[in-house]
Amino acid sequence: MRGAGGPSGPGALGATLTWAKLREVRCAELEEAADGWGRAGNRADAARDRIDTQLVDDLRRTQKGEAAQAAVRRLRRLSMNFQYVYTECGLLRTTLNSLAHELKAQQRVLQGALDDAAALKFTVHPDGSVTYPAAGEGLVDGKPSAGGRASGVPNPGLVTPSGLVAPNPNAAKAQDIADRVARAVRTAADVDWRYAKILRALKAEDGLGVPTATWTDAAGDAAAVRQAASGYLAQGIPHDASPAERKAWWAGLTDEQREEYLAVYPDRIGNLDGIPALVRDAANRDNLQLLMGKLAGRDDEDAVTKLAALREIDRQLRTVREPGEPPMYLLGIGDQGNGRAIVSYGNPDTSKNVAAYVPGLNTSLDKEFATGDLKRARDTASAAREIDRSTAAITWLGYDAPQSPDGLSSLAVAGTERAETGGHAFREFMSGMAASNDHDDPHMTAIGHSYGSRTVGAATQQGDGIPGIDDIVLVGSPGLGVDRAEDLGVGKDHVFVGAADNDVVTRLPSKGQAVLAAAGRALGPAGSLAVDVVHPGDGDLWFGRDPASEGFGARRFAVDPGPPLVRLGRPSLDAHSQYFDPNLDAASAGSIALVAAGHGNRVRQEGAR
Amino acid sequence: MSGVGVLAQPGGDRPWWWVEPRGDVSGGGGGDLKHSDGPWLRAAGGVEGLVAHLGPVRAELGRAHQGLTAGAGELSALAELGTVRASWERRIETARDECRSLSGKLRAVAATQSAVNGAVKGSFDRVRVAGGGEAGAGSGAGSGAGEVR
Repeated sequence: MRGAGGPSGPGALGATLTWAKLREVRCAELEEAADGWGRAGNRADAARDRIDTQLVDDLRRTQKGEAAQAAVRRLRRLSMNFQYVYTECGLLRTTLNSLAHELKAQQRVLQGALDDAAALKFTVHPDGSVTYPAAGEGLVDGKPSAGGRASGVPNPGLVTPSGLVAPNPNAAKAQDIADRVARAVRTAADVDWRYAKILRALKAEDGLGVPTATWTDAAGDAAAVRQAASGYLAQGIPHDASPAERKAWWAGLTDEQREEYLAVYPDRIGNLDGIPALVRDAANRDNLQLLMGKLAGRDDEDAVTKLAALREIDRQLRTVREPGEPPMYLLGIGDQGNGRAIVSYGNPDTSKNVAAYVPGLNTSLDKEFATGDLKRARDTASAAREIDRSTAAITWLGYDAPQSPDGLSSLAVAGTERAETGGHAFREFMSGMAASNDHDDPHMTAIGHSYGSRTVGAATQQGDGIPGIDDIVLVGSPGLGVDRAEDLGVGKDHVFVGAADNDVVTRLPSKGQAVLAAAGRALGPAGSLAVDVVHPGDGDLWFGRDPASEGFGARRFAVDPGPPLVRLGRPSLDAHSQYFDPNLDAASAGSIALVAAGHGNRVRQEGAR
Repeated sequence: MSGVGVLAQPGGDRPWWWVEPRGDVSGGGGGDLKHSDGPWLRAAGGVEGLVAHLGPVRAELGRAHQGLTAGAGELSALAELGTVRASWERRIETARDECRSLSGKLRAVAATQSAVNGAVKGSFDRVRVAGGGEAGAGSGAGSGAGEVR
């Protein structure tokens, strides 16, 4: 909501707030009011949950026809309303708690000054001035210097010392006390003014609907409250701790504290590795609405692209699952860089097998990602859960993958920096998955596709490698910067490679001039140039040794060769993009699912290149 | 959100108010899921439950702010809080009204289940149109598609 832009400034208030009034402010009452907003928000949240998980599902599952659709539409609107109420009540709660927190700090400053005055037997007057008794020795007659009165200055640093030193030692002490009183009152007045402005913006819109513009305003509200409350709440979030420590931190919070973090920082909690998946999912679903609202308030291309992806993810989250379909968990979402989205199919905390797929070249938070890349994890999860029901598969877009507006030539210049940065983020994520998993020793798989395999490769070489990982699958890999499967830290029998004959990313021209020519035609001069430059010798790819080669020593599984690189006179990279597709490449998709489900030993091996 | 007891999809921990779907909540007809009145009546019952669930909000907020008016002195932030509170109480009441209205419609569907589907849709759509213009002041621009899903 937009604030009305009140006329009062801190100056006007500073004139009315006195130290006596500041001392009387009962912050406990503010905190009690905050609790009231927390309860109201919880009721709204429970109402939303009831509609979404029970009423809508029930009607959709059992009823067809326009009556049911119309009923579901109205229920959805109601649910969205409750989500809005929950979000704003949470912001109100933290605004009041944070206001209390800041006022208490000034009350402490004030009380300290008053205590000092009392100890010295000074008098603090209603206007904040301080009188002190005679003391010391006069310079002329040796008699005690006369008492006096000091008036406080809110910003003592701005006052130039006169250069005259008062002979009465009480004078300086009184001045200090008066200054502290004045400063506390002035700061409290500023705080009051700031929070009044925030509160004014937190009024409810009339009616029941929550149009996009309202979410845009809500995103602005959330940003304002986060900024105001940063001293009160944000410092508590253990960003620098390990995922296991964060899990312990979360477990040690009270319900009220958790609610407050979720309400004000769904963006941080939702993306914090180590926090339980259910909590991340709940936080990210809330943040998703705010993010969509925020992006809807912009009209640049980047915002439009990301918004389309978020809307598609939102649509999928709200779709009622068919029986047997894996449930969807939003483990991460963000608009930074090329965008972030981490989606799990199957609960990664309760599943014994957890597989995470790292996408590669040209992946960013756009509509294609939200449909195609998410489908890869969904397909993998669906197939793997037929082998072992206790399996979750994740699409992890937790880094900025290189983009290639000018075709594959970009791959050559993509370099390894993004893989290295992404590798760190991926290790942290997997460490979080291992920490929050309920099983003592969950079976975990890293799946890298395209440049994503380079990212997985980087992660295996950092620190102690990827935490908790048992198997690695590499498909459509341009090389991973590691020359031997046994160097990946899981044993070479646990490294699986899929490389389609017609996938140019996995197959560089040293093997045959025909492919070189085809690649050149498909990619244009820049592409063939890159091919020439990058590719130094046999068995090597863009980023080191071909993982499908014999020398690499991984287990290569059968994949469909895929459509030819040049088809009907046009370049086609389709062979690079069908490894996960159960319809286009059942052999490959089936092998990936076997590994994800912890049955890699059953993968049928095929000869190396 | 407690984050633990609340889950937006089936398969996890259930919140405190969760009732496993039964075939019939009206007392007659037994627990047969094939009986298609069940979902409509359950939905009606569920929505009525929300009216009660949200009933205490106003009083709870009132109690929570009781000490504040007396104790917190002359902060200007508190002057705003009164208006803010009134606006949310109104919004909650609007939602309760919608729940009451919706519950009546859902019961009507159960009662006239055998009637032509389209006639019922008309009943919903009339109400929907009547309530459709309440997006609120200043929120209309640029908010076309996807407002209510």
